[in-house]
Amino acid sequence: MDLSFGSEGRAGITGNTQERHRAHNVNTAFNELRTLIPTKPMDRKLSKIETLRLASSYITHLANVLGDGDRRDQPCLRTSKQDRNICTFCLSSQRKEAKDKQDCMKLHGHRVRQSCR
Amino acid sequence: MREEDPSPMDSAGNSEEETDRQLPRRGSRKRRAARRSTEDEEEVDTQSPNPGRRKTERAVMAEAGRVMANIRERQRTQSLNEAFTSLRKIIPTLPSDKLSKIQTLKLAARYIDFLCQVLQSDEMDARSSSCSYVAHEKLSYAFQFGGWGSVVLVHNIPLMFQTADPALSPAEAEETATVLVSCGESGPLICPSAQT
Repeated sequence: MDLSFGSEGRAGITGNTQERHRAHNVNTAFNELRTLIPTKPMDRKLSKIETLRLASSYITHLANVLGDGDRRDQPCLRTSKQDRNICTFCLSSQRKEAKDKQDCMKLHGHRVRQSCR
Repeated sequence: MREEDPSPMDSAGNSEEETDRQLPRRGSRKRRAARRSTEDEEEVDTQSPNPGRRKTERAVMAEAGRVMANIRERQRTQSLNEAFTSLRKIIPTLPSDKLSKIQTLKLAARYIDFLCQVLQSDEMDARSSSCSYVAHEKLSYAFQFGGWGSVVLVHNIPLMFQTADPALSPAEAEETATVLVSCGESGPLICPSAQT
């Protein structure tokens, strides 16, 4: 006895529909995670594998920053002993800080440089 | 037998990672391979080196292509699962709480959000007081009012997480107690429950 809407049959929601719902929930969770990862440009669409990997490195980066309380000298580099690992988030926050300083100096001149950390 | 969906979709409905553009029209390839046993056996292929062969070269290529696609898909899925595993490792949770994929995703999002919040408030207060201690203060505030489950130490920072397991095991609580004390934190942060 089939219901007239969708693919629901006698058993209620069919296995296929269930799988689609599950997959849709997973994709939604992926999208929400994506929004939290800072990218250049901000609306750059990351693939699933990219979001997973970047989420891992971003969490590691944030934890390192919290531990050291300072973003200026690439805290991730200090934590890992190998020089080969570059933290993209360390670099971009460094660049942002440099840019902020630049903009601040342009706006205010040299006098209030300190307060524009 | 027409396939309604020509491209191989995994269960998450995502084929964006299948970037191989060299396989033309998968649908037709699948169809052809499915009918291989009936059609191609009878087909005398004048182009193949041995026209009397049962399986044409085309059929063999199609089969090989399918096998390659299967292997590629399996590797893609494997790397995806590996990435999930790495993410699970750094998310603060008890080892007994095995996180499913959807759970890791949601928990990762919450965790990032949480870390960012701590960082923001940390940054604001850092100008007037010493940096490293303020982070701990914010965490204890969040602990009391944020509805988190219990406290463990991750990356040398006392942090909170929400787990299915409401209380820390005595061994776990002891471990965090030791490290928290060495960070100069007082007793209340070790309190295991406060479960919402």
